Amino acid sequence: MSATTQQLERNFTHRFLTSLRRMNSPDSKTTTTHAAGLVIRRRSLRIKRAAYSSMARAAAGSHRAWTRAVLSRTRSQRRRQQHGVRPNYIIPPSQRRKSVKRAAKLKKKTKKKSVVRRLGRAGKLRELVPGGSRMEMGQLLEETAHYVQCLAVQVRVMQAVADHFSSSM
Amino acid sequence: MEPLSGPGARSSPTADETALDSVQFGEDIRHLISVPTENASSFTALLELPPNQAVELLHSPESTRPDSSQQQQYQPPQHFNAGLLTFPTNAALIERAAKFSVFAAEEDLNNNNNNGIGSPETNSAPSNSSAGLHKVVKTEPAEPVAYLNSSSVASDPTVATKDENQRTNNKRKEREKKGKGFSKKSKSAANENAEQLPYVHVRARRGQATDSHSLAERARREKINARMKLLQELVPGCNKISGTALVLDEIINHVQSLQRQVEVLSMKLAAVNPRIDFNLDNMLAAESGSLMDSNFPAVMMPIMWPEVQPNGSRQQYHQQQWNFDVVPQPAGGGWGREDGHNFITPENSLLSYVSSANSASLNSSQLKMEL
Repeated sequence: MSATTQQLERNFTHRFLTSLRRMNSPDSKTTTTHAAGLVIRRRSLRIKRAAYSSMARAAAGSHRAWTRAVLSRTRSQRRRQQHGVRPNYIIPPSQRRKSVKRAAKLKKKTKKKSVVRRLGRAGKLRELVPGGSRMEMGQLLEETAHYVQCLAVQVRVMQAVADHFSSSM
Repeated sequence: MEPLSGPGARSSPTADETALDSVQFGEDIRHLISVPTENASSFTALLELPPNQAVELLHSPESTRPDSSQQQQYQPPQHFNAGLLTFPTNAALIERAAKFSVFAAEEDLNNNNNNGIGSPETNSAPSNSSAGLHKVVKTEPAEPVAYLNSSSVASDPTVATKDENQRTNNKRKEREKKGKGFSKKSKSAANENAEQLPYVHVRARRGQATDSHSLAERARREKINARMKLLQELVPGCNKISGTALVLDEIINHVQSLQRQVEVLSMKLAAVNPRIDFNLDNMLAAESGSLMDSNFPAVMMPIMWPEVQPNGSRQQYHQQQWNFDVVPQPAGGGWGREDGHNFITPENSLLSYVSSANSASLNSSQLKMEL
């Protein structure tokens, strides 16, 4: 393992754990109000997002295309949360109401995506790598290489944390 | 060579220029072919001289003639020299040779007017140095030379031998063949020079297209290939696979599996975490972030949660249990000392878990040592 990888690992671990702690502190009150399965799903989503964003911060900040894409996505999600728009996975399906405007927007979005989406393996890779849809092929491969490295570190650290929790309990 | 071209310079400035160029050209040819061509260049120098001087000089270097006649087969520009050099074999034709030399000078003057750059040799010289031997054949001076030959044959039929006639015909055919491609060639060469400024590493090999689009495309392809190789090294089990499509498939699979792993792990953490967060807050509230980072597992170790499902590493669990059974556990106050120790070597605590389960026992043994 190279020195840069170790540094990245340490940096990511620190960020991830701090974000986990931050996540845990206000959440303890609200957990009782929802069903357990929903809570876990929501929590897992939040943890995943925290992991990705802390990885993006630890890896390159705004110097890489994929980290920029991840950070902008998390930022927009946070903004949506702050404005009180609850994401769909929290609300049970029976209570969900679909406003016409939003449905139209969603339709438009999917249509646009299908237009943007490219065929073949490169298109698939574009979908997997954050921000990949706007990249040129050479850049896409470069970003993929960096992304794969960072993901490997992320998985290793998360595995360690999860192992630790599950083993210590 | 220098003393030969010297007197020519005094007599006519344009002739001097061409003589120098021919010297340069001779050197180029010497690089390309192993046959010594000093004599030929000396003859070209000779040809640029005014007629009476040339006649004088032509008497003495009789021995050089066969060399130059050999070179006719290699080089069309040489043909220009050698074709004229065949005349002095008969002593009677020396005067005519002198006449031709004048003729050649006139041709050069015409060329100077036409090209506006200099003699044809100056045009050919850089391309000779940059490109391979095959380009020499296609270079520009072949045209004026061929014209010169044909005109010389027409003007002086007594001099022209059968060999020369055949040769000129061949040359003409060659010229007609290559005349088509030539304008393109020169244009592409200019493009290449312009393109090599931004992409220094891109070089067109023989037979490759040299216009800007294909150069850029080649650069792009090379870049993609390099990235592919890098990715191949990164993704496990990708080294043996050949073929871009298969490698890409493998990369996609790898990325997907990693993302799925992240998802699963976050689920796991979410399932595990809510029972811990009190302790997290309670125990780590006072500590700084970096301390928390390093001591996180050490602090969490003694907490036992029997009701939580033990996912994955049962071995580690048992090992730790065993270790903690053996090692006498200190109460609250003892942790402070351990914390301080861990702060010095932060990799010990969490990052050791990353490598293997054995590191847990190592950690606890360290703890034992400390205690």
